[in-house]
Amino acid sequence: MAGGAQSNSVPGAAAAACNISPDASGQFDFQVNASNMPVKIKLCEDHSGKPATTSSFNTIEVYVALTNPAQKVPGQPTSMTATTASLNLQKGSYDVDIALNTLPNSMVAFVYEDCGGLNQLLRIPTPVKVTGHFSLKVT
Amino acid sequence: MIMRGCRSIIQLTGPTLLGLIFALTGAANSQEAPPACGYFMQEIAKNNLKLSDLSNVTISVACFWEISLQSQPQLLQSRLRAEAAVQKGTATTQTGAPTGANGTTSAVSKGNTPLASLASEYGGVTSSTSNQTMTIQATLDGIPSALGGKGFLPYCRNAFLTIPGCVSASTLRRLNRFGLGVTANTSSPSQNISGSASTPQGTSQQASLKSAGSTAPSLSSAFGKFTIWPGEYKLPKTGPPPDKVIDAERELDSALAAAQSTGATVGLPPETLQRYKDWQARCIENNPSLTPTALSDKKRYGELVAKYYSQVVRVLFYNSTPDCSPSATPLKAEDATVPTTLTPWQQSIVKAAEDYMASMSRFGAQLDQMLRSAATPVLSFEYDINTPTNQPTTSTYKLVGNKAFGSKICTKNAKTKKGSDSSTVAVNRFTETINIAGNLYNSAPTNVPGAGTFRDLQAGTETDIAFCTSTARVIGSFLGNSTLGLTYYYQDQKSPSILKVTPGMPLPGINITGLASTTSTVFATKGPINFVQLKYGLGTGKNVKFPIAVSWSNRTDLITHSLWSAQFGVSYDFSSLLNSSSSTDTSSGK
Repeated sequence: MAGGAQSNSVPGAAAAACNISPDASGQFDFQVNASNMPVKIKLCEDHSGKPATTSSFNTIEVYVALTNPAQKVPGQPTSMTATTASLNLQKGSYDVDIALNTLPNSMVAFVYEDCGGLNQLLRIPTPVKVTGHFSLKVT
Repeated sequence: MIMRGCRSIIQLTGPTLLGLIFALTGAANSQEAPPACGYFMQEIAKNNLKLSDLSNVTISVACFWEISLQSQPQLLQSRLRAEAAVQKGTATTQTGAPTGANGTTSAVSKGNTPLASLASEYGGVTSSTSNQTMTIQATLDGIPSALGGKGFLPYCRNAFLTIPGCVSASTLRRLNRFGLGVTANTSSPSQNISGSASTPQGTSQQASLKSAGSTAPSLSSAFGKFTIWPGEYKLPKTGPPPDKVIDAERELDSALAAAQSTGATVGLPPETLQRYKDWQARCIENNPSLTPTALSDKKRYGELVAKYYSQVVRVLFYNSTPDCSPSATPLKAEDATVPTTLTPWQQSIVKAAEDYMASMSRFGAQLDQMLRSAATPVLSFEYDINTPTNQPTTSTYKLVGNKAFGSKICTKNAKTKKGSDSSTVAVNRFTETINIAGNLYNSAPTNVPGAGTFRDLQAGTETDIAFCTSTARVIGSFLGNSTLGLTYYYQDQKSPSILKVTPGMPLPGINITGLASTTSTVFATKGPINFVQLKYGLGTGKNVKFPIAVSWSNRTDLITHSLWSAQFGVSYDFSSLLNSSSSTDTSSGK
């Protein structure tokens, strides 16, 4: 479901380190160290990391992974704007569900880690789908 | 002779016909890709999406649905009906009568019209007598838009989603350009009555009465609006609730994941899961035939889908092993359709896919309805036909310009009593509206000196300043935001105002002495009207609005001296009844 991390540094971008990486075990999409919390994510218009203009976050919900029925994590994200959000999670594994508002001309929306590089977490094919999710293990 | 001629034509055209038949057969064999599948291929070729997005049916669910389930639209429609529910929405636009109507509180018309609204107003701008009016208006997309938003009609948000029998976004955008409304005069008598009295019996006297004049409904005006230059769509701060879409996606994920136990009703059995993963890897993700060049060739979409993607239907529903070789036979449409007899876990896949498409349809309809409501037209044309009581009917042709500007205010969500976010936030600080209009008598007055068909020229401007009162404690959530509007309106009368008089019948609210018994027409002194109004509108962005105004004018249509007057009203925006989502307004208005 997740986009698979593509980490490229952006010349001139803020030097904040990227902390989310693909999960080594393969059980989850990504992993991040609890000491690197909070992690920030951003919604982008294209591969270059340009903030989204044809889509915006509608909701972001975090659930404890592998729970049935899904157990929602309260208070997450800790902050959210139209194109950015911040997650502050304890050790554990989580599903991050994202729903977007989109304009008719939106073609693809990209969710990246908001850091000094381009760390892609999710792609959403917006004309045919407005939701997406990725799983995240906090170690 | 004729037969011979026919034979020679057949002989001459035989090779051509054979070629044509061959070409047609070839065309028939080259299957057309479902639009959603074509979209994926196009975006993969551009490197915006990856082959792993196509191979994941949870992501490419629309493509999967178009291949396997589109031929059974009744399934989706039943899912849509199951989702139909009443929720809340809103819009902010002019809901009252047009300028020319007696009783209006607005000197300047707004370009847009709400989905559907009802307004009761007391006042009048250029009329000499104050009246009570009731205005009902709607845009033509109101009903189909509401049906789509509630799930009674499938909705196709774009060309990539093709649900049979759906109402399309482009159709609703066109219909949204048209608005219609009528204003009824509710304070004047709807019909005149005349009669004659019999001989007095003491202090009482019997009278024989009958209707006088027209018995048609008393409408003071009817109007139509056409948006010439639509406003820009802006993303709402708070969109429709996506819960159903998220639930459907989770449902689909579970249906395509490994079954938790043998005989589970949800999830793929181990052997099917293995074949599904095999299909993902060999047919899609590592398929050497799916090169960017091949994927960017629109003529090959159909073949590639039929050859490789469609096999997922055989894998999931026919226990087939995928054939991903370049020599694989493209599946015919009927072979890639979900069978009618299914195991419980297969039913869960079908249900999840249908649920996703149904919830997407409804979410898309609600979101687009919000986008259309919030897009204030930049330039509109309005036609009003005015039928004031005891006056000749007139037609007004009006151009309406509108521009919102300034910083966004009310960017923080107001909290409702339940603690959830209120829907209407983020409006522009200022909105400027300009009107230019010409008003014509529908029939040229023949017996009034100096009168012609052209009655008057009108121009008006209104500056609205929005205030974020919705976040005020205690009463904020009830009142919503408010607007202070300053209006200047000018009317250059080219022909005098005319009153139609019926001998022996008093004019409502007007008392003229010294009229000759033969007089049928009274006309006033013509002259320019300058009108200034200060209006405070409570409830910007709320369904119920209360405009209160005080105004001054140098004269009115009949009276030639200056006067102060007051206007007030209440209006209800029915959009909330038609829309099934909680909405956010990104425009300003009142």
